[in-house]
Amino acid sequence: MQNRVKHYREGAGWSQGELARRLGVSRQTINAVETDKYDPSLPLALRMAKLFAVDVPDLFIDDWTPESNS
Amino acid sequence: MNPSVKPSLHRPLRKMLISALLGAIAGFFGVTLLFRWTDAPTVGGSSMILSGVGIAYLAMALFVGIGTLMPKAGSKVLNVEDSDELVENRQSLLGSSLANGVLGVMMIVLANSGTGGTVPVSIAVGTVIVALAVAGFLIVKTWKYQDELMRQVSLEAGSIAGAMVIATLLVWGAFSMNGMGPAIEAKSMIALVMGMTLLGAFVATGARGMLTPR
Repeated sequence: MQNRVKHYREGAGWSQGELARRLGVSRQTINAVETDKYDPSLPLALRMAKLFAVDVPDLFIDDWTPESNS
Repeated sequence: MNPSVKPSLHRPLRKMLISALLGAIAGFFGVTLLFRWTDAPTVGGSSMILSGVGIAYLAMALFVGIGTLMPKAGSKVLNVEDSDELVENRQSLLGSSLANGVLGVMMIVLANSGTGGTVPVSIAVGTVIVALAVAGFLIVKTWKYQDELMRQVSLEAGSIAGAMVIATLLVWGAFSMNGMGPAIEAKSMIALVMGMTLLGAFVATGARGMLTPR
């Protein structure tokens, strides 16, 4: 899933290590999320959104749209 | 040309070459020393394979263990961004390298036990019990130091290894029971399970792009 974690992290002026420390995960996890190799758990996605003060859909981009009922 | 750019471009390749070279040297000396000290080649092919898998576990444990204890040197060989990454994951890496080392020793002892082996039954059985207890304790203990990515990769590695073991044993068993191949020896089965576990870990980490040189 595409995401804008790197965009918001760099906007905050944080390194991957700094973001990892704030979220309580490894640097490898942040790197894997930013490079689209790992979709974080719901709790971690929520924590990331809270940390950047944005909504989860602003952070993680999903192109799926529900079928209309017509 | 900016001189600071060149080293960073070559760093992953250089690191990969150093790791491969050290791995080859460790493997060569490990196998040579093992066969000099034991009679593994004389007790059959399955013993040699089990010894080989044991050496792979031991070599991995040594590289990761020493690399974690000496982060600056370790960061030049292990696939990490810098030495800080080794320090941050110290407990998890030390735990898993110790568990791998214990399992490696267990496999080498087992390879030299049984029919034609030099290791007495009591020592072989005792080693298995102690090794499984120590490795089990370390794996459970290490789990709490891992974050969600590492836990996910561990689960995927286990699933992949399990699937490969089931597929191999099913095919091997089916051929063997119909007289189309040799019967499965206990040593071959242990080598298969442990070898596939290692392979599963490589496949799972590779699929996540974590084997890409950094």
